Amino acid sequence: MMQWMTGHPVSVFGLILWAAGILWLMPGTKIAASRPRIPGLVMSTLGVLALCGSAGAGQSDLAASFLFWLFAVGALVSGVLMITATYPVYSALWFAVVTLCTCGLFVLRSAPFLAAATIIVYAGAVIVTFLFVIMLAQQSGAAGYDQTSRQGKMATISAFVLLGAIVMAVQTPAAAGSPVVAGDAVAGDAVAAAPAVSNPATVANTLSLKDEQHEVGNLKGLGRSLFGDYLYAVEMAGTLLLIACIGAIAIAPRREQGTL
Amino acid sequence: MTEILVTLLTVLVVVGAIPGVCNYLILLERKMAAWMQDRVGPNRVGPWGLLQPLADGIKLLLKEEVIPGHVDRALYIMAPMISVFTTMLALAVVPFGPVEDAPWWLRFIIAPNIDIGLVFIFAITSLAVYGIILGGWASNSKYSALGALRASAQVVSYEIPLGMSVLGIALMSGTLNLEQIQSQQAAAGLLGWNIWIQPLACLIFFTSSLAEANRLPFDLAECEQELVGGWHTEYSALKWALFFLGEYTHVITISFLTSILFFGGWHFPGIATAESTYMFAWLVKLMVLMTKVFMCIILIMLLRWTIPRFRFDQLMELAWKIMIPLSLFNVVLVMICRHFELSNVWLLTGSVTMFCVWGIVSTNMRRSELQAKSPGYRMAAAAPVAATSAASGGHH
Amino acid sequence: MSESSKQVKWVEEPELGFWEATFVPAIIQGLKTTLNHVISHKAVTEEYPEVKPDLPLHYRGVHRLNRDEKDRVKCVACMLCATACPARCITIEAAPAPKDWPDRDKFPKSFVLDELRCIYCGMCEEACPVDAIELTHIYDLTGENRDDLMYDREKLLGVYDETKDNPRDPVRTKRGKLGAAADFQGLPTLGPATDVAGNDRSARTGTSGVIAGSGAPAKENRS
Repeated sequence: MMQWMTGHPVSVFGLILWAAGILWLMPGTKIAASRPRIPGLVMSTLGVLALCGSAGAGQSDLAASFLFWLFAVGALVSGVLMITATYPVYSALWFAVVTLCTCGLFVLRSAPFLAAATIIVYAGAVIVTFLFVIMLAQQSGAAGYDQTSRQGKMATISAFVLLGAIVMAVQTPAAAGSPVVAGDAVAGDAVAAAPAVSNPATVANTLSLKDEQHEVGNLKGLGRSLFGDYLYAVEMAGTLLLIACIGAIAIAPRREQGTL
Repeated sequence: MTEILVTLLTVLVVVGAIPGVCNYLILLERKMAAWMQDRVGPNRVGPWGLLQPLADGIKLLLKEEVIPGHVDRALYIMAPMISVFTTMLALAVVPFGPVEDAPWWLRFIIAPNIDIGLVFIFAITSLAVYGIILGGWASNSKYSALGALRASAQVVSYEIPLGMSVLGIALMSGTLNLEQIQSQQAAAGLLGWNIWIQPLACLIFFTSSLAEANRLPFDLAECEQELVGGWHTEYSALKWALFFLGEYTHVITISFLTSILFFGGWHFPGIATAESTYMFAWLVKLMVLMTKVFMCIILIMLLRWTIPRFRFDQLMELAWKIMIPLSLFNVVLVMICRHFELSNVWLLTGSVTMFCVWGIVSTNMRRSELQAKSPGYRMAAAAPVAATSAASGGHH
Repeated sequence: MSESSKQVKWVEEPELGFWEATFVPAIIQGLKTTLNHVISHKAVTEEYPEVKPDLPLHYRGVHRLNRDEKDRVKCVACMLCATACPARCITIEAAPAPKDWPDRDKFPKSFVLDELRCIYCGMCEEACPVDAIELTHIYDLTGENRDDLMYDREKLLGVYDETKDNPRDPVRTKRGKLGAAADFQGLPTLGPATDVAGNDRSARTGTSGVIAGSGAPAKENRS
């Protein structure tokens, strides 16, 4: 680890700068609300730039690389805005933008079905439900108990330790063989900013890395891999969701017939 | 280079045609509404009121744009844009003509050969709800908020039967690509249209797409009697018009989808088949498809004045208790038929049987519900003596 | 006070059969109805500016001030209309009648009726003892400003000149030179203004004239 740190000072510097920027931007205390946002934004931007520069992602196609940077930067920026927004509604909306940008990255990695499915499930249903709940319950920002239970600093530090670990894993010589991985690193950053979408993303990555003989990105290949190679995992995840669903119904308070 | 130019031309044709078509659809809808209510309808601007859309457009363009002081400005302005953008984007993978016979300068589909055509459409239209929900929330008004909440609940619920009903088609044809689904039906002839194979899926699809588009009888989100205008209460002028452009584009999209998925697209026996190779075959096929789409739009407009608006609990009941189970069983039926390679007759029979079974089940459910809650019902069912005592016992 | 519970008739929610539960036949039936209206369309509306509406005879539109046989204003400035007006839209300024008008003491020096305030209830017409003010069938009055719709005496007389020959706007009462008040003999019995069934309570109240009936409770006039 020390070897990596000394070997890649720019990456470490970028990570620390970025983390500091996020910490600056993070709301949660009363002082934070009056803090100007510009220094935090500048710090984060510089940090991201330093990290990207050290990662050295290179794309040959001009249009593809433009789109890649568009989606990647979009995902990062909206991820930061998502966790630093003071209004929960804006957080949910930035979450939607993160999802859309990630889906754009999926399309660029020729996984259109995954992108469309993610949009339907996350942007189309989950976040709409979030918005629904927020609009019903929290018109005037987060409630007091939400504020106290929110550990912005700890969350930021642990997230960046995780991110650092990922960057380190990518930059250690053993894994740095293929140029594909360098691109994945930034996609991974976007994922780290939006933890909820990390699951499909990892599936995509394992697909593209592992099953070269399958037609990757094709619907058939995805289906074969989901309901062939990973059948038990998929079924278990489905059962888990079903159990959660039943549990939610069981916990939900019963009401008189006819009242809402 | 030609590729890009043709794409540009196709995009231009679609984007240019849609607002005009929407305008005239609005005129048609007003005329139809008038005819059904024994009125004349717009007839002042131009002959038979044909210039009315133009007048409306000019009015909406020149009207004062009122942005209330209490709104969330950024989201308020963004909402109508999202509404139009998403519905227009969904049209990108819809083939609006015979793609195989297209002339070289027009392609009849903006984005050809997209593997996930149908899923793409659902993904994009599921984003359309953001236009409504943001418009409602940003307006900062109770009517708008209630309308937005209703709309989002409705759209999220009806997405499930919508997707499931199409899943059967996808399983049957083995593809999600609309062009391929269409050409498969064309190759199979009149009896190969999916409506004959999966009538139930067609019914579910059509109903839930009406709900997705917030059209009557499912327009709870903007029902005037309760919510003024619903989520667009606080909107005026061009922003308001954009919401309506979005709604009508959605209607056009679902009409195209219904025609292509279930009614054979441009195929019509005798006139436009897969074999017809005469000179302007593409034009005839285009006209056939347009006629089908137009009939579908007419049906939607007729339904608007035929079925009264649902109550919200009825709406949710229809989605969760009837359409979702039915579409689920439909998918299972298609799977069984595909696996055992049964003929399409079995699918048709199965569809009709399921529909009837569900009818009987819901009749009985309703009856027992009635018996459970209505005191009068108990009175009528009980003996006469018991009835008088129950009646004198007092009701509230 | 409350009705006995035996009189309460409980109406059952009709039981839905199989076809009703499936919605489809009802929808088809409804579609048939709406489609019939579209196909054999027969509008019941009027093309307004081209086709004028056929208003009922008792329609109450813009007012007019009637002229007598010598083309003088019939009004005697008795202020009864202004008093009766619930909207207080009539302003009359009375003046002693000219010497050569022997049949009356006063005449309206100015008579201004605010058509914007007026609620077109027709009370002025009812109150007028000399049948001077009447409501016509003119309904489409417009003005470019508020002053245009302040109808003064000349304007109201102009409305009379305009409408007196219209068969739909006859000068309604022609009792004597100055109307009902001029040849007043005794109190006529006033029946109910509209046709009512014989057993209706209002049919039994024949009030004996406006003056005798006014102020006194209605009960005493019951026959």
